Amino acid sequence: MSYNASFTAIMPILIVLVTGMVVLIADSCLPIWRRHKPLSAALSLIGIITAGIVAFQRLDSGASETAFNGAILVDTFAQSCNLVLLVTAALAVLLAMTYLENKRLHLGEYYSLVLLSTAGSMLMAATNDLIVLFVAIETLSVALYVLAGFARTEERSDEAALKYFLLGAFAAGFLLYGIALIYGGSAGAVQGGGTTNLIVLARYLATVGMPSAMLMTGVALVLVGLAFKAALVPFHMWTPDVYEGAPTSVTAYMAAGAKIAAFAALLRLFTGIMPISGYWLFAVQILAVVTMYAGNIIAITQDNVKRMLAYSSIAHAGYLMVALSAMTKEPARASAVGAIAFYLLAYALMTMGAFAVLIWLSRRGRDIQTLSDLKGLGKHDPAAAYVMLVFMLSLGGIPPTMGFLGKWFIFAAALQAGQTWLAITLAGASAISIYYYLKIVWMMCFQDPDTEAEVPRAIAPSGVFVSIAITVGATILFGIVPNLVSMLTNSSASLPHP
Amino acid sequence: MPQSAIPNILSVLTFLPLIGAIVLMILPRPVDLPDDHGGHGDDSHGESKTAANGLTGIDDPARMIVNWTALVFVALNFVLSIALFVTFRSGYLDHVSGNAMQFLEDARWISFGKIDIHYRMGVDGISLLLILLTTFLMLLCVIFSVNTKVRLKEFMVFLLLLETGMLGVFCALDLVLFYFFWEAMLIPMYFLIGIFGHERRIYAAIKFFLYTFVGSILMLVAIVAVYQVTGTFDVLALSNQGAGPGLLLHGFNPQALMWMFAAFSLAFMIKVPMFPFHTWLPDAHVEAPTAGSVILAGVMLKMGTYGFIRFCLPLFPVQAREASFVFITLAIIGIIYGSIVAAVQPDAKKLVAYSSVAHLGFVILGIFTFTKVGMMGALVQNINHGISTPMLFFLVGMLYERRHTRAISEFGGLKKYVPMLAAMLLIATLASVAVPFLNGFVGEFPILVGSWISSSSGQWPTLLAATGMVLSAVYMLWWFQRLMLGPVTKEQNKHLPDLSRTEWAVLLPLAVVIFWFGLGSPFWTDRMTNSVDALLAIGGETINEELPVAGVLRKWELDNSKVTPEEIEKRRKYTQPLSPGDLERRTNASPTGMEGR
Amino acid sequence: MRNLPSLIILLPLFGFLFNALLGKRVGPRIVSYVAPGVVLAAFVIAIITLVGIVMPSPDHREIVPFFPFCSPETAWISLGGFRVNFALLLDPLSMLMALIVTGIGGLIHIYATGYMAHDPEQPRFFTYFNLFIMMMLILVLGENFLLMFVGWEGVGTCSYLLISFWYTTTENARAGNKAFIVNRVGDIGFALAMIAIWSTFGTLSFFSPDHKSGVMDLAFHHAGYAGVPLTSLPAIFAVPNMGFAGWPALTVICVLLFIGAMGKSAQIPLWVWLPDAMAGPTPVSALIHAATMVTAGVVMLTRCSWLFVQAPHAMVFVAWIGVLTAFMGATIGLVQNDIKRVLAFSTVSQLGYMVLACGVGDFTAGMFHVTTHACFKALLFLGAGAVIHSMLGEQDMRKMGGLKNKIRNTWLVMAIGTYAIAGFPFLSGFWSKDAILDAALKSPVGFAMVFYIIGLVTALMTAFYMNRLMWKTFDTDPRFVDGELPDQHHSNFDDEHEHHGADHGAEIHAVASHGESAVTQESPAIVASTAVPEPHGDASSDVPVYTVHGPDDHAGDHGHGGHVHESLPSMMIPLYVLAFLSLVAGLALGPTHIFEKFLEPSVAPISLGGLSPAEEVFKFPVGYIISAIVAIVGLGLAHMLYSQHRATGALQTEMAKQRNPLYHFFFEKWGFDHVYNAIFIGLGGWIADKILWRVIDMRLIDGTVNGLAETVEGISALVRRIQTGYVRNYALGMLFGVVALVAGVFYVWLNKPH
Repeated sequence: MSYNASFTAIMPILIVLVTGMVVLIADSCLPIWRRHKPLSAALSLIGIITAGIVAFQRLDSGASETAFNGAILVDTFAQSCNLVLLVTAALAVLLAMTYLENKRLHLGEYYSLVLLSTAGSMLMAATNDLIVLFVAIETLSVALYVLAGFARTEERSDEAALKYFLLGAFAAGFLLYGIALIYGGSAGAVQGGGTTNLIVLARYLATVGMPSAMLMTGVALVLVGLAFKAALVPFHMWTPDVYEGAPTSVTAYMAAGAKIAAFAALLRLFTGIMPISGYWLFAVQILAVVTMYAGNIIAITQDNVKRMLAYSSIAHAGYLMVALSAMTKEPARASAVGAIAFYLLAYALMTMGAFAVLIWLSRRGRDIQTLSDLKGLGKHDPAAAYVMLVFMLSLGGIPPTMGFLGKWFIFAAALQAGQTWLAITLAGASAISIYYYLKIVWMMCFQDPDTEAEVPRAIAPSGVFVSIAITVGATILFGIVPNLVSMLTNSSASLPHP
Repeated sequence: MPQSAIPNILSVLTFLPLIGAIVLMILPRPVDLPDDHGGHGDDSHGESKTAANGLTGIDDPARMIVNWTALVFVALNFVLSIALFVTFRSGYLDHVSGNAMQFLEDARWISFGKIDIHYRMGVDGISLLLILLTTFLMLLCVIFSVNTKVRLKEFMVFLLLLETGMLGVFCALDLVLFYFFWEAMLIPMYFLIGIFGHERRIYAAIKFFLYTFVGSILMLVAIVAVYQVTGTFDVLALSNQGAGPGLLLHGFNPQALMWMFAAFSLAFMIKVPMFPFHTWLPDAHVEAPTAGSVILAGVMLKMGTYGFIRFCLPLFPVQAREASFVFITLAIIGIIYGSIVAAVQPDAKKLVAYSSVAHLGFVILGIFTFTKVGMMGALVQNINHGISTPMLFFLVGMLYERRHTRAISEFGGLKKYVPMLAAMLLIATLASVAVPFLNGFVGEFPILVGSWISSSSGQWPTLLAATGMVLSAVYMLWWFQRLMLGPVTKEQNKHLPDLSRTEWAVLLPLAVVIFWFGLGSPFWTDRMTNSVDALLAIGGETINEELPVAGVLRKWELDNSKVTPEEIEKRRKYTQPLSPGDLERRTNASPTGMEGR
Repeated sequence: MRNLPSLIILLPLFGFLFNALLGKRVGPRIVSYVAPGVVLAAFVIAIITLVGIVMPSPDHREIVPFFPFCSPETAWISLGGFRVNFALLLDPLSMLMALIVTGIGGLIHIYATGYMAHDPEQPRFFTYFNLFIMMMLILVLGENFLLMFVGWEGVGTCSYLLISFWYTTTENARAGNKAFIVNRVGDIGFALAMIAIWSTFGTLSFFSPDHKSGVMDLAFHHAGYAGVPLTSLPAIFAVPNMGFAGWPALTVICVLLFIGAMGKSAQIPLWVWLPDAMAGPTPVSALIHAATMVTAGVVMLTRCSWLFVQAPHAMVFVAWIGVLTAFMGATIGLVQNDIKRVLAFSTVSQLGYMVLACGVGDFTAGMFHVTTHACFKALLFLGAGAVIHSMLGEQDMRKMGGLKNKIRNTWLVMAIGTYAIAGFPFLSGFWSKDAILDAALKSPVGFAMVFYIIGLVTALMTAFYMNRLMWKTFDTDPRFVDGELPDQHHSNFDDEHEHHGADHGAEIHAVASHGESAVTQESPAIVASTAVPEPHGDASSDVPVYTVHGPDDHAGDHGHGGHVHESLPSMMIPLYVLAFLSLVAGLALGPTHIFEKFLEPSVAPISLGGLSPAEEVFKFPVGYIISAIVAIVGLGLAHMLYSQHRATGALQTEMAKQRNPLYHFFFEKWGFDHVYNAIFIGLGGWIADKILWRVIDMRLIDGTVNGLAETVEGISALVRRIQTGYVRNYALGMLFGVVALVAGVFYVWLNKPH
C-alpha cells in the first residue's frame, strides 16, 4: 500500500501533531503571539476540532484501514478512542487558560505539549505493533513528564514530575524488555524470526498450542509497562503524588487522556495475545480485583480532594480491567469492547468534570486542597456544589448518569463472559466507593462552612464554564439516552478477529 | 389494550414533576428566614403564628412564587393521577397474555450490543393505588412544607425530583428502567435528610443511602443475570404474563434462580424494611424533616413490598414459595419485635418508625400467604399504612414545630390545650391500632384470614401475628396517653396553639381517607382483583378460598337428601317454608342472592 | 318499612355527629336534649321494628339493610372470596338487646344529663355516649360476625374514651388503656374465631336469607339432617387447616369465641379491667360496665348457641370459667370499701352467672339474667352515683353511713336494687338467678352438683355483700369525720402513694389504681357547683379544681350532713323507672315463660348437639325454696354483722390489722393484678428496653453494620501508609508487582497440561 494511503489513514493524528508543533514554533517566534496567549489556545482548539471532524468522518464511514504495513490499524475502535482523546485534549485546553493565568504560568508550550501527548495517545489507540506502541507511549509520556512539572515554582509540581519521570523510565524499561522477549518468544511467526505485529502474533499464537516461557515473560513485562500507565495496583504509586502535585488542569488531562490511551493499548495487546488468554487471564483478573479494592479502600481515608480523585481513578482502572478480562471470552467480546469504549468516554467526562469544578473553585492563588475546603459549598456556591454532585454520582455509578450505564455495561459484559464472581466483586467495590463520593457530597452540601466569613461566589471563567457545561450535559444526556453515542458502544465492529 | 384519554398518561404523570423541578431551578432563590434552631429545615410556621395565614404566610414574593409553582405542579399531578384512577378499567384482563396491565407504553431505549432495553411503562391494579397515594402524599407534603425556613427552593426541587423517581418505580415495566428510577430516587431523599434533617442527619442520610445501595447493587447483578438467562428485561414477559421468553427463567437451573431471587429479595427486604435490616429506618425517620419522614413511610417503604409483588413473585414463583417460610418467619418477628421495641422508645418519631416495621411485617405476611384474600389484604394494608403513618408523622412534626423536641417525656396533658390536634392524633392512633371502620382493620384482618388458610403460613403463625393486634394497642395507646393525657407537666406546653389552617389542610384529607377506606373498601379494592388473580395465576397452586367448606357441606347436603319425618318436623319448627310473598320480598331485598358469600 | 331499622343505628350516629361538631357551639342545654332524645327515639323505632317486622315475619328472622335504601348485599369488605356485607339481622335476640340498649341506655342518658350538668366537657361526654350506643347497636344488630366485631371493638373504644374521660389524671388514662388492651387480648380470640369460622363455613353471616348458607344455618342443617354433631362430620376434616392443633373445628371455634367473651364480659382471667373501669363517671359505669357492654359476651355466646351446643368440650370450659368467675367476684366483693367497686365486683360475679348459664346450655336463662341484671345493676350504679353525688364525690363507704334519713328516696331505690340482685323472692333477680341455678343442676355437660353448689354459695355471698353495702352506706351513724381514716387507708397502699393520698384525700382511691385499680374522684364540676362555685374558665385550667378539696374539706363542709341532699329529678326519675322494672321484670317474664318463647327462634336447643339434660335432682318448687332461703340468710348475715357501726369498725380494722390472709387475698383481688404487672409491665418492659432495643437493635445489628464500616476505614488508614512518598519505595513496590505478575503468569503456565 502507498504511503499516502497510510498518511490519510492517520490524518487526525497528523493534524494534532502538526498543530502542536505550529503552536510551539509560533509561541517561540512571534512576539504578538507571546502577548496574546489565547491565540495559541484558539489555534490548538481549531486543530483539535478539525482532527475531530476528520476522525468522525472516518468513524462514520466505518472504514478500517491499516497503515505502514500493518504497523498501525485505524479501525472504528481507534477512531472512537481518538474522538474521546480529542475531547479530553479540548477540555484540557479550555480548562487551562484562566487557570494558568491565575497561577502566573500561562505559557504557550502548555498547549503544544498537550497536543503532542494527545497525538501520542491517539497513536497508542491505533497501534498494531509493539514497537509503535512503545514509540507512542514515549511520545505521550515525555510530554506528560514536562506537563506534570509545569508549575516550575512549586516544589510539589517539580517533585511530581521527577517521580513520574523516574518511575516512568523504570516502567518503560520493562515494557521494552517485554517487547524484545515477545519478539524472541514468537520465533517462527514470520519468515526468519519473530514478530511484534499484534495480528501476526495472534495468528501465530493461535497455531501454537503452548507458548514458550520467554513469550510468557514478555507478555507479563509488557503488561507491567502498560499497567504503569493505566495505574493499576501495585504500579499505581506515582498516581496520587503526581495528581496532587501537578497543576489541576494537567492532572485532569493526565487522569483522563493517559488512562484512555493506556487502556486502548491494553485492548490492542490483548487482541494480540488473545489465543493464549488461558495463561495470563487469571493474573489480569487478580490485578483487576486488587486495583478496584485498593483504590476504593484507600480513597476512603483521603482528606485531600485531588488525592481522593486519584485513588478513585485507580479504582476505575480496576473496573475497566474487568471489562478487559470479559473481552477475552468470545460471547462477551462485542459488548465488552463496547463497554470499554463507552466507559472511557464516561470516565473522561466525569473525571475531567470533577477537576474542572476544582479549577472553577480555585480562587486566585489558593486551590481547593482538603475536603474541608469544600465545606458549606452548597450554601455559598450551590451551582458548583450541584455540578460536583452530578460527577460524584456518575463516578459512583448512580443513575441518571453515564457512570451508571457504563458500570451497567461492564456488568453485562462480565456476566456474558460467565465471570459472575468478577461482577459481584465489582458490585462490592462500587458499594464501597459510594461512601467517599457521598462524603464529598455531604461535605459540600450538608456541612456548614467553618468560617462564617462571607466567601465571594466563585465565577467560572468562560473556558471552565464551557468545559463544565459540556461535561455535565454529556454526563447526564448520554446517561439517559446512550444511543446518541452508540458508535462507541458498537465500536467493536471492525476489531481484528484472530 | 385500554388507553387513557390523555396520551402516554403515565409518562406525563412521571415526568411532570421533573419539569416542575427544572422550572423551580430557574426561579430566583428566596432568602432564608431566620432559623430559630439548629439551622435545618422543616419548621414550617415556626411558632406557627405565620401558619395561620398559610401559603401566603411570609411576604417574600420569591417564596410565594416558589411555593405556588411547586404546589401547582404537585396538584396537577394529583389531578392527573385521579384521571388515571378514573379511566382505569377495573374489570380488564388481557386474556391472551393473562396480564392486567393498562396504559402500556413501549419504546426502544438503549440498544447495547445485542442487548435491547426498552422504555416500558404500564399500570395495573397493584400499582394504581400506590401511584394515587404517592401524588396525594406529595401534595400534602408540599402544602405542609410551604413555610420551610432555609433553602426552601432546594427543598421543593428535591420533593419534585423524588416524586418523579417514585412514580417511575411504580410504572416501570422494564427491569433496567425500574432500577434506573429505583436508584435515582435515592438522591433527593438523601438530600432531604442530609440538608433539612435534624442533629444526626448526616449519619442517618449515609446509613439510609448505603443500606439501600448495597441491596440494590446486588439486585443490579441479578437483573443482568436474569437477562443472561432469558434475553429480555420485559417484566411482563418474564412473569409469563405475555408472549415472551419468560418461561426460560423457570426452566433454568433452580439453584442459580434461588440466588437471583435472593438478590432481588435482599434489595426489597432492606427497603421494606424487614427484620433484621430495619435499623436504618428509625434513624432515617427520626432525622428526616417531616415531609421526608412522610414520604419515607408513606411511599418508599411501599416500594419494597411492591418490589416483592411485582418482581420477586412473578419472576421466581417457585423460589418464592420455597422460601416463603423464611419470609413469614421474618415478617412475624418483625410484627412482634417491632411492636415491642416501639413501646419503649423515648422519641415520639422513633416509636412511629418502629411501628412501621410491625405494620410492614403484616404486609409481607399477607404477600407470602399466596392466597387471594391475604394478598389483597396486604395490598390494602400497604395503602392504609401509607395513610395513617404519614398522618402520625405530620402530627409529630406539628408537635415538633411547637416545641422543637421529639422526646415523649416533654409532652403530656396536651389535650387540654390542643384539643383538635389531640382529636386528629386519636384518629390516626386508632387507625394504626386497626380499630374497625378505620382503615387499618380492613387490611389487617384479611391478612390474618389469608395466613390462617394458607398452606405456607398456617394457624400457629397466624396466632403469633395476631398478638400484633394487642401489642399495637399497647404501644400506640400508651404513646397517646403520654403525649396527650394526664396532667400537664411542662410549663411551655400551656401556651401551644391549636391546629392552623395549613395544618387542617394537611390533616383533614388524611382523616377522610382513613374513614373512606374503613367503610367503603370495595371502592378501592375492586380495581385490584384482576391484577391479583393474574399474579396468583403465575407459578401454580393457590388455595381457592371460595367457600372452602360450605361447598363441601352443600354437596353433602344433597347426598343426604332423604330426611326423616321428625327432622322435617324439627326443621319446620325453626324455618317454615317461605310463602311466595316472603320469597319475592327477599329476592327484592337481595338482588344478587348468594353471589359472593 | 324494611329501611326503618337502620334508623335505630343512624339516630345515635346523628346524635354523635351533632354533639361532636356542634356540641360546643350550641351549648350543654341543647346537647342534653339531643343526646337522650336520639336514644329514646331509637328505642321507639326498635319497638316499632319488633312489632312491625320481626313478629309478623314467618321465622321471626329478617335481614335488612344497614343503610336505608341500600340492598342488604352492600359490601363492606370484598377481597376475593372474603366478602362481608353491611346488613342488619333482626331476630328476637337482637331486638331484645336493642331494646335493652336503647331503653336502659336512654334512662341512663337522662340521668347523665343531670349528673354531668355542670361538667364543662359535657358535650364531649355525650358525644362519646351516643357513639357508644351506636356501636352497641351495631354489635347486637349486625348481620354477621364481622359487624358484630365492629361493635365489639367500637364499644371497647368508647369505654376507653369514657373511662379516661377526666384525662387530666394519669390514673384515669391508665385505666382506659388497661380496659382497651385487656379487651384486645380477648379480641384476638374473637378475630381468630371469625377466621376459623370463615375457613370452615365460607361465610361470616349468621343467617342467610335462604336459610342455607349462613353459619348458623349450616350448623343447624347438619345437626338437623344427620342428627349427629357437626364436629364428627367427616367432610369437615377433609378440608385443609380445619381443626386447630388437632382439635375438632367447632371446639376450636367455640373456645376462641369464648376467649373473646372473656374479655368483654370480664371473665377469669381477663376481668382485671372492669374494676379499674370505675374511674369513669358513674353513668358510664352504669351504662357500659353494668348494663350493656359487659353483657356483649353473653349475647355473643347466645348468638352462637348453634355452634356451642355441638361443641360439648367448649361448653364445659365455658361453664367452669363462668362459675369460677362468679365465685371469685363475690369473694372480692365481700371486702371492698369503695361503693362503686363493690358494685363492679358484683357485676363480675353476675356475669359469671350468665356465662355459667350459657356453659350449661341454657342460653335463655343467661339472656334472662342479662335482662334483669341490666335493670337492677343500672339501678344500683345510678343509685350509688346519686349517693356519691350527694356526698360530693366521696366513694368510700367507711366515710358514709346514716344517709338513710338524708336521702330517703335514693335509699329506697337502692334497697330495691339490693334485694333484687340478692335474689329476694319474687324480685327480678330471684327468677333469673334461679333459672340459672336450675340450669346448672340440669347441666348436660356434667358437674351439675358442683356448679349448683358453687352457684348457691355465690348467691349467699352476693346477698351478704350487697346488704353490707346498704348498711355501711345508709344505716348506722354518719362517719363523715373519722380520725383514724388515713392510716386505715394507707395500710393498703405502699408509701409511694402515702403523701400523694395525703394531699388530696379524694385521690386516695385513685392512687390505689397504680396498675391495680383506678377508682377516682367524681366530676370536678359537681364539687365546684355545690361547694365552691368556680368560673368555668378556671375549671378548664390545668389544675383540676377538685384537688383543692381534701377529705378534711369534705368533713368540714358537710360533717353535719348540712349539704347532703337528694339529687335532681332528672337523676331520680330514671331511678324510679329502673326500680319498678327490678321489681316486676322477673315476675312478668320468668314464671310466665314469655321470655323463653320469645327468644326460642334465636337460641339453639341442646338437643341439636345430641346432648340431653341431666335428670332433675329435686322437683319444683324445691329449687326456688332453697335459693330463697339462701338469699334471706345472706341478707340476714350482713344485717347481724354490720347493723351496728361499732361492730363494723371492729371487724374491718380487726381483719385489716391482723393481716388475715384470706381477707388480704380477697382484698388484693386474688393477686391477679400483681402477677400481671410483674410479668407484662415489669418483665416485659425490661426485656423490650434492655434486651431487644438496647442490645439486639443497637449493639447486635447496628453494631455489626457500623463495625463493618469502621473495619473498612481501619484497613484504609492502614494501607495508605504504604504511600510513603519515596520514589525508592515506589520502585520497590513496582518491582514486587513485577515479580508477582511474572510468578502468577508462570504459575498458571506451569500448571497447564503441556
